[in-house]
Amino acid sequence: MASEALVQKPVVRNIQAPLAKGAGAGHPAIELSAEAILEYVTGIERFKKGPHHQTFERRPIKAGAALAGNIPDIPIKKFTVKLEVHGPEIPAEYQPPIKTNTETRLQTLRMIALLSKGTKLYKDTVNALEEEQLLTQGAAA
Amino acid sequence: MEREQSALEKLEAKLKQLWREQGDAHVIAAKHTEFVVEPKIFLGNKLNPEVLKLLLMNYLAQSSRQDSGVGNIDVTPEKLTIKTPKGKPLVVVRDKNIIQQYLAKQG
Repeated sequence: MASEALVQKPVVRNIQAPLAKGAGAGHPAIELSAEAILEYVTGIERFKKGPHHQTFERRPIKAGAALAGNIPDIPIKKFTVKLEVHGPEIPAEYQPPIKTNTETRLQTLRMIALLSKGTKLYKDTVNALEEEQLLTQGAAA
Repeated sequence: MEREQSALEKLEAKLKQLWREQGDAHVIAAKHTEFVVEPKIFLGNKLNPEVLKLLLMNYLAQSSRQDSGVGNIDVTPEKLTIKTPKGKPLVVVRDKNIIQQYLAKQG
């Protein structure tokens, strides 16, 4: 079953976990083992439905007792964890859709170019923009 | 031999570097591992909103007073619009904190 595959072998490559400001205040940094994160995230029903950028509210500490070995028992109710989880083990239906809207990409690059003008990013942005424009023209030809 | 990065990949790497230097980067310390938190720069064909916000804050920090109203930036208490040199709206910001910070700087 697809959801079982998720539970067994997800690959966490990128974690966005802005531990809520104030969460754990007065306590040492929250320690989560990789296993705990995987176990925790893959155990949440919403995750199984994808997409992969989601915000999870951690269950209260007691409800997360299975992971208690890795989560200090601090009095916070929840924090937000954003995870990007992907890999060959994740069935295709859970992978983010690949969009090929070239105009949107060009527009994004133009926006970065405008915002980065005068910074060291600008040259790289212009290079990327030119490359994308060439690719677009090549595809159209 | 290692494949040469495309210009887009190079830009992505630079943006990640910017994020590490100036963004709200976090490290999750596990017992034997550290997760360095970094955003995915492009989500589909769009820029990650968190990265966009960082670029935007930098841009606004550098913008001159002359920009407001007559040039690239139109601002009201509800909406901040950054326009292209041709006057076309390119970025619209409705984040009240960002707008207030900008207005305070202008004031």
